[in-house]
Amino acid sequence: MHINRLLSLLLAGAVVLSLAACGSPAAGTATAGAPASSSQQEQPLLLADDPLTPETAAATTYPVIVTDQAGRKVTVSSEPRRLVSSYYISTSMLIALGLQDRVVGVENQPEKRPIYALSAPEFLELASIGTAKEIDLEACAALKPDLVVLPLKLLDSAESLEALGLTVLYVNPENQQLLEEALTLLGVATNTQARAADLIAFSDAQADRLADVLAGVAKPKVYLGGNSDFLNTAGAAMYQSDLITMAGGINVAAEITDTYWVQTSYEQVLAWDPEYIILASDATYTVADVLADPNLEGCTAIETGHVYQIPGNAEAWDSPVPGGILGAVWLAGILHPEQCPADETAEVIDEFYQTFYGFTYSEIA
Amino acid sequence: MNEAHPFFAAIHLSAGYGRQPVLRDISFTLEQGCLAGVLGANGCGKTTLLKAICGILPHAGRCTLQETCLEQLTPRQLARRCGYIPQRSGISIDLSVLEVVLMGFNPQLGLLEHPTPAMREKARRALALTGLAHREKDNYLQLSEGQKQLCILARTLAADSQLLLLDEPESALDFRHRYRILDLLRTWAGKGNGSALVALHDPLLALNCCDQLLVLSDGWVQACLTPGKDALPRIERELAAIYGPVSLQYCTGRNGQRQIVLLKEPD
Amino acid sequence: MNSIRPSMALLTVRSHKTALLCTAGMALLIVLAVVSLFTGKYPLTWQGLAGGDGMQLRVFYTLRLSRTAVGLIGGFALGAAGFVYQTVFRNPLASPDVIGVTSGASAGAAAGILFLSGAAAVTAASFAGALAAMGLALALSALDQSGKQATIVLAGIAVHSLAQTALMCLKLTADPERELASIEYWIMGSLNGISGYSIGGNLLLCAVCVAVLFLLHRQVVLLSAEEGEARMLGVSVGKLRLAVLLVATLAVSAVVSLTGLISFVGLLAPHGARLLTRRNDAGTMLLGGILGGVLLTGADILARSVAATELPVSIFTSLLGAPFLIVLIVRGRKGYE
Repeated sequence: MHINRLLSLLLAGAVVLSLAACGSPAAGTATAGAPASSSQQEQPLLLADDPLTPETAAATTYPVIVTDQAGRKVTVSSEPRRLVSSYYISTSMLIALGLQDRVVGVENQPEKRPIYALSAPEFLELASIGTAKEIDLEACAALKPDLVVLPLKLLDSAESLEALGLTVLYVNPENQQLLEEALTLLGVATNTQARAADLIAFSDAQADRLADVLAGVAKPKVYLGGNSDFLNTAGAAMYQSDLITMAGGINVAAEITDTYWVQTSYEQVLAWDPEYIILASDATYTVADVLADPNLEGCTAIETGHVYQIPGNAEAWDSPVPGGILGAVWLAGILHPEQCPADETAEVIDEFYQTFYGFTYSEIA
Repeated sequence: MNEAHPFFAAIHLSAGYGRQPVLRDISFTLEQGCLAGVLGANGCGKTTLLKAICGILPHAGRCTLQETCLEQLTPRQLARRCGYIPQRSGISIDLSVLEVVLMGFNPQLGLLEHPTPAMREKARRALALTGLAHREKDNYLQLSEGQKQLCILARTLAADSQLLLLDEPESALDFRHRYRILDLLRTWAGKGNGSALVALHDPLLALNCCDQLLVLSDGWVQACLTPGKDALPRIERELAAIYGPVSLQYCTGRNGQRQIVLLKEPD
Repeated sequence: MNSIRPSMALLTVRSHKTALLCTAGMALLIVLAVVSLFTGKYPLTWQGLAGGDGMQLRVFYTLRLSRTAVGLIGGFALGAAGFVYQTVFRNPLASPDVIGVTSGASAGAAAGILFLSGAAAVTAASFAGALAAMGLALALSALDQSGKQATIVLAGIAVHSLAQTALMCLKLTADPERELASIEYWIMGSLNGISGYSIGGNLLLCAVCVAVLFLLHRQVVLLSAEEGEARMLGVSVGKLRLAVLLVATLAVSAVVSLTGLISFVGLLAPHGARLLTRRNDAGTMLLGGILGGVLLTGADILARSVAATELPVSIFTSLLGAPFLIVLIVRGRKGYE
């Protein structure tokens, strides 16, 4: 009996030790499943690594074979007239590509995305085909779409949809590069290459401009508070971290390598002592909550009142939507008001939405 | 103690499980200091009778102990007057023998009180009486069934009840301990502490140790016998209803004490 | 009625071995408490604390100290309450979930996350959820006058599944990016986010309940006897069981509403104590509490230090618990029917 007891204690101890040795067991699980580069060497029609530029953009000749972001080769036989999308980012892309009139089905709860009401109010009335995590196969088939655009998370549904005779493209816009790839893919598949090229060029131009004006400025430390909880933050591998870097800030959580939101602690935030605290666009808490949080007392950002929330009047700029670059543009205006004055920032934002979405942002913000 | 106010009386007791009646209108009385046995075939209602008296089973009719109606007492008041020893104790967690005996003092203790040293001393004496003096620190669960019975008996004896109700306490005991446990009860009752009502499996034990015998048959009190006084043929007749034809004889032991022996006759 | 003399008898641990184990456990608990006070992301130094560095003192008092206190007191309460549940239900696997409390707390927390704002509101909502589940389970069981133990278990199962259904409905309506993530994280349980500003009431309630449980220890043991037998020992079984469960559940609710679900502490700690002492006296209950404190504090130290980020504490309590449970099964259920 005594030996058994000893053994049980040893066993329990061994588990803990092995766990400690492995480092972080729960962390580090990657969410993006597919390879970023979808180009195959023998694929001549679309080089996904090579985004469209105004020079390379041309009219698409059908049938066309494209490689989607799941690495599948998909033949699009003719210019699609009926489109469906079950993911808010791909849906927004379709608007930006000027295809809103062809969209016949979108994801559930479109009323949650203000950009639809602003630029494609008819989406609010469209049939729903599911969510980013689950697709309603029958509802989708009933719409008789020529092209179905789905996020990579729904790859499991590919066979079922193909069996229904549908043409499906998977997109995975997890960062700026993948976003540009996705835009190129959709541009080629829907014969909107020129528009896709313009979108990509706009983002690139803004990124270049920010890099130019912010060259050599002192970079403040920034803490990004996540959507569900202030103590959630984004490590270096996340899109939100790129946004901070592009805007001339230093993500205090850059040492974290996880690809999804991670939980941190008040202590850690105080130890990082950020100069700016930026809240995610969809945060469930407010700037006032953070300023009033007694646990953050003494933190530089709190003392100086530098707590801001990424605006979500049109779209969540901290997600890789086509207008995602505007998040960096806006944040640069916050972090470096001298180099990036407010009127200039407002101008850029207005230009983007007027060009691609047909409304004036400064009128709704 | 006169006839109108017996020490204990069961008056028109009826009880059962669900709609199935087991006891039908039973009435009997016990004198103070009396050791009464309950005999009956399996399923005739011995256990039901004991459980009805101590209020574990809902029942019709009433029981009085020294003119107090038991049905009107709280569990605490009842437990101070009545001790019940089930066939098997339901204790299923690791407790020391002494802790089990000390449980018996619960009715005398407030919710937050703990047994006093005097109670511990009393508990040890009760254990010594039942022959478990050396086992007080042992785990109750590791005792044999018979020792468990003795331990529970010690618990009941220590608690100063006036009426003890025991359900076949001899069933798990060996020959010697069977007589020992009944001797203990007799001595206890003889000192005028109170009375005991004991359901018994073994008719010999009942005939030789009890002052009074209730013969239960099919939920009725078929007979109320006094083994020391009643003539053997009458006892034979009444027992035959339970055991089939039997004959009884007196036998004298080496100490000159007369005992009854029982022989089974062919059916 | 005799004079009340509970306090000394209560802590007079009668077994030499139990006393030794409790002392060793306390020593380990103190060591872990000190380690916990000086483990964390914000660098604390003796010099800084002694020298009155405002920031360090603030971190120490509002964050580190309160987190350590919740680990110690919360773990202790879970362990002691677990002892009570297992004894009263005569079942080595009994836990607050037997009467649906943790699912009630989860559903409450989910509702708080969806409809209210702020950590304090979520704590309050989860506490309310736990109380509602407990109240419902006990009220349902009180409908059956016979006071059978099985009735409470059945009522608990009904409430548990009701609360699970409510939780599922709440999750369904939650925004997957924001609220759902919060709900999931809450359910995983963590001592992160605890600060001196939010724990006072819960810890006080917890401490009071645990103290009452120790005072009621003798009654808890009486309840472990069969119903008829307990009744004949003068116990008002139905009422007393309700009262004891109410107190134990209050303690658990107070912890769980602060930390989220913490698995295995309530199961493991009392069991460990019993396996070690083979008794059920107040000393064993104390040891169960100490082991609970050790387990939760230890798991929390790991949860905040093995990775650059905060991990759910239940990962560590469960990883300790699972092998322990297997050992338990292999050893057989000695001591229980």
